[in-house]
Parts: sequence; C-alpha cells; structure tokens
Amino acid sequence: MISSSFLNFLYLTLQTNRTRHLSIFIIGSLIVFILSSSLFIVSSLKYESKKVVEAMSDFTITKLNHRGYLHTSQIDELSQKYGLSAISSRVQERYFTTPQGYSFLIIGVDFFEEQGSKEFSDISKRGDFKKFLMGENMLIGQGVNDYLSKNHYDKYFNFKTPSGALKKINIFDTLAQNSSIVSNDMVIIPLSLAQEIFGMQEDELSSIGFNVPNDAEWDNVKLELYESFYDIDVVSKKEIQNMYDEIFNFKSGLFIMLFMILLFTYMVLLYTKYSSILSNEKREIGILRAIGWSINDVLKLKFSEMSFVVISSYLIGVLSAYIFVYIFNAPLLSSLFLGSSNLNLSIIFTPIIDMLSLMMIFLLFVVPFLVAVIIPTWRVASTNPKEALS
Amino acid sequence: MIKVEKVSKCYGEFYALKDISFEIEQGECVILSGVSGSGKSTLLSLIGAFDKPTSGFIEVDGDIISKFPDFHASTYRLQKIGFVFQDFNLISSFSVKENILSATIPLNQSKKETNKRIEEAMNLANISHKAFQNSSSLSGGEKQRCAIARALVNNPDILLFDEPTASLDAKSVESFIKMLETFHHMGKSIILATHDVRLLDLKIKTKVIRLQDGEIIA
Ligand SMILES: Nc1ncnc2c1ncn2[C@@H]1O[C@H](COP(=O)(O)OP(=O)(O)OP(=O)(O)O)[C@@H](O)[C@H]1O
Ligand SMILES: [Mg+2]
Repeated sequence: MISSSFLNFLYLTLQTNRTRHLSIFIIGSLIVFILSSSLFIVSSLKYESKKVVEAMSDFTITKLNHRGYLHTSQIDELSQKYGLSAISSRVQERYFTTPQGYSFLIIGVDFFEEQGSKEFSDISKRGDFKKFLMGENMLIGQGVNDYLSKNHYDKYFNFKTPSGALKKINIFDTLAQNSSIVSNDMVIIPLSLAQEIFGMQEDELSSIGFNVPNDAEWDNVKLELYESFYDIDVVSKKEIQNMYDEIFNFKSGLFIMLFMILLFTYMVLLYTKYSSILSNEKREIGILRAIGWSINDVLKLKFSEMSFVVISSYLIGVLSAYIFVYIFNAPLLSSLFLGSSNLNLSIIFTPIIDMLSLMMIFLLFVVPFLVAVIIPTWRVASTNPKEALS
Repeated sequence: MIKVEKVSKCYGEFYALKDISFEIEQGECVILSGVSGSGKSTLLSLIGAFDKPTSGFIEVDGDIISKFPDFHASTYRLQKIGFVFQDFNLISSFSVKENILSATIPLNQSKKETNKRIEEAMNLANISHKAFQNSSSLSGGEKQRCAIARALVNNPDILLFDEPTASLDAKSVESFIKMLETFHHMGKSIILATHDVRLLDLKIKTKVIRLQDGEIIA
C-alpha cells in the first residue's frame, strides 16, 4: 500500500527534479492537446452533421446532372406509384455574388408542405412562423450573414434575377451557428421567392425529397426510380451521411498519422531523456539502495514520479484542448478541418466528449511512455548499493 | 550476534581480505584498525551486505546474510544495519530531515510514527536544530551527525562507522565519542573502521581487531 510518507517523499523528489521533468511534461501535454483538439473537433462535426442529415428526407431526387428542372407533376406520379410520404418540393440552387464570386446555397421551401418536418422545426418553434411568411423574408447561415454585413447589408439583400431586376429580401434571422458546417452558406426562403430569383416557372423544382416509411424497401426504391424515370438522380440520406463521415475520417486519419510520428519522436525523446536523468540520479539511487531500499522500492518511486508527469500532462492536454475547442472555438486548427474557398466558415462547436477516444489517447500516450522508460528505470534501480560507497 | 567465518574477498587475483574469522556479541564495540588499504572498508561492506565474500560466510542472528538474495539484503540493511559512510553519502538536494526521512520510506509507516522516529534520531545525533537546513550547506561535523541520525532512524541493532573521525576537529571527536558511549549503553553493536589513535582509548570496553594486508594480526 502507499503510505502518506511515501507520497510525501514522492512530492519531495518531484519538487527537486521538477526542472528535469519539465520538457517531457510540456511536450507530452502538447501532443495530447493537438490530438484531443482534433478529436473534439471531429466528434463535434460528426455529431452536427448527423443531426442535420437525420432531419433530411430519406431520399432526394434531382434532375440528372442538374440539367434543367423537375416538374411538380412528377410529385403526383411518385406518390401514386410508391405511396411515399412527407414529400417536399424544393428549389435548391447556387446564387453567385459578383464580383467576389462567392456563392450562397439558396433553398426554397414550401413551408406549408413541410410544417411538420424536423428540418425547419426551429422557426416554427419560435412561433414567428407566420411573421416569417407574411413578408419577403429569409433565414441565412452564419457565413452569409458575415458576408452580407461586411458589405453593409444588415437588414436585407438585393438578389439579381435573370431578367436583370432586383429582388429585395429581408433578413429575418440567422441559422444556429453550431450547425454551421452544413448551414454556413445557406439562404432559406419560401419556394415562390426562390423560383422568382432564379427565373423559374411556378411548376419547376430543383429537387424533391420524400420518405420511405418501410426501411426494408430502401434499396428497392432507388432501383425502381431509376427504371421509371430516365432523367433523374437519387441520393439517399445514408449516402449523404457516408460522404460527411468519409471527409471527417480522412481528415482525422491524417491527424492520427501525424500523431503516430509525434509519438514515435516522443518515445525516442523519453528514452534518451530519462536515460540521462536517471544516470544523473545514479548516485542518489545508490544511496537509497545502501540505506535499505530494495529494487522494488526504487522502481515504485521512479514509476510513480514518471506516472505523475505523464498523467498530469495528459490531463492538462485534454483540458486545454477542451477549452481551446469548445470555449474558443479552435482558432487556426478549425480551418484545417473546415477550410473552404467559399465564405469563411465560423462554427461554434457543440461539446461532445467521446470517452472511448479519450481512453484510446490515454492508452496510446501512456503505454508508449511506460515502455520507453521501463528499461532505463530498471537499469538504474538495480544499481548495486556499493556505488554509494565509492 | 555477528559471526564472520573464514571470509576472503578477491578482486581478480588480489586478496583484499584473506581467511578472516571472528565473532561479535550483541552490544559489543569493535574497532577495526589498520593502515590504509588493509581491508577495513571491504570488511564493513561485507558485514553491511553491500557485497558478497568470495569464500566463507557471515552470519547475523542466525541468518547467513552473505548468501541473501538482493531483496533480503535490502531488508537486512534497512532493519538491522545503520551505516555511517566515510563521506556521509547524504542526498545534497535534500534537507537534514528529508535525508533522514528517506531511510524510513521502505518501512511504510504512518506519517506520525515516521515523524516520531525522525525526531528521536535527530535528538540522539544532536542535529535537531538544523532539521530544515539543506544538507549540502552543513559543516563536516554536522554532515556526520545527519548521517548518524539517518543510520539510527530505523533503530538498528548494528552500527557501522567507516573512518568516522577522518574529517573532524578535536572538539567534534570528543562529542562523537560521547555519542558512541550513548549508543553503547543503548545496547547497540558497534563496529568502527579507523586508523585514528584517538579512538583507541575509549571509556567503554572495546575489542580491537587489527588488519594488515587483509589478514587479522591481533
Ligand atoms: N572494487 C575494487 N576493485 C579492486 N580492488 C579493490 C576494490 N575495492 C577495494 N580494493 C582494494 O582492496 C584493498 C582494501 O581496500 P579497503 O578500501 O578495504 O581499504 P581500507 O582499509 O578501507 O583503506 P582506507 O583506510 O584507505 O580506507 C585496497 O588495496 C584496495 O585497493
Ligand atoms: Mg576505507
């Protein structure tokens, strides 16, 4: 058992050796910090994208290669044939600003059709739904908001229609910032306004979303649709989710590789550093052995000393990553994950603590540490007490 | 009781100790004398289980300590032996009290017990007033008293001193001798390795073992 005298003595040795441990502690915390920051960012993005995708329709149909528009009559055709539910007609087109060449993703929604859908439950919850529909209003993503206010459009924006006329639409509200990963460049407006901006006819749509209540049919639906309509493209919710996951996994994969390299360097550093620290302590350890410490006693002390360093650097690393990502929203690092040429993306990360990954970092960090120090520690702990006599 | 039986110690071809035999009763005070290189320190290190004899054996209270594996030898040093080294071997970054503390750690005692023992040892060695001073800034005599306190803290039966008066002035030697008398009255076995003639006429009864070239000559 560990007595309080032992802890007392451990504290004492840590105190006297603190400068020796400092560099190990700093580098260790830094490695854990980088790894946990990227982990926090990825879990948060995955969580948000999952939430957004979950609210989407099960399937979305667009015109093949986005050439031309779908037709409202196709909705009837679809529902008669397949008994689909929760059908939503959408205009979903990119609007390019001149001369900067940024683009907004304008989503025209038939709000009456979609009153019950999860995707826009936010607005209806606030009870402003009626007010929103009464005027010519839009909901905009954070990136759009930043861009517009930089160009002094604080209340409204004039969209240019293909005929050259300007269409003034008021800014009603901004979309929640924690879903920025998806909504950053979005502009949500009523369907008819969107059709007007893009010069579309009233019966023209760019996409149709729908749900398939029976999960077992999911695979069939796609095939059947391709057979009945020659000129459409079908994307399922799952495919969109997979696409997001792939992007994030690729990016976090790069980080894991970076981490492995860092870790290897760290192990080499640890090995050489502790070999030299311990050889400096050879005399002290010889003295302890001479006054009755067994090899186990010395090992216990040195391991406790190093475990303290490694565990505290782990905790400091994780804690500072948490603060960096969830309180300061990961300046610099987030752009590595979110970097895009269109509209600056600023995101508020929802705190998600992935215990499994934290455990994994702990193991990946602590185990190599122990492996790297066990040999030098053992070597010096078995110092012959005679060393102290000479 | 300490029994040294036909002990030899070789370094390569060289015999540092040759066929040494003697016995020491509990509570006896023994002076190992001899010129430099005669093997005094070597003999102390064997009795302290720092090293093993090349042949022969050493028995302490019925245990053949010269055959102890490392773990038992450590325990033996911890509980039975108080060794005061020639150059004291203090840990220079620690204070007096911390140096003494370091000898108690493997015993796993409570903090209260540990502190009690440290106080007692410091009082016996007359170093309490320097408890919190860094050991590297002590005078030679104070260093020795710190080392003595450390040797006493686990209340060992046997005290080993290697050249204890080598770096002491006359006054310090006097107080050291007083201390020795106290330890003798406490019933400790004492073995002193020295060539200091001042230690040859102690008030207490002593047995002198003279060494020359690794052999006992008287
Ligand atoms: N590790 C060693 N390797 C080789 N020879 C050694 C070793 N240790 C001691 N010796 C030799 O053994 C002999 C006895 O040494 P020891 O240290 O016991 O002498 P001593 O009586 O304590 O002398 P001093 O009074 O100078 O301390 C010396 O000749 C010494 O050179
Ligand atoms: Mg000597």
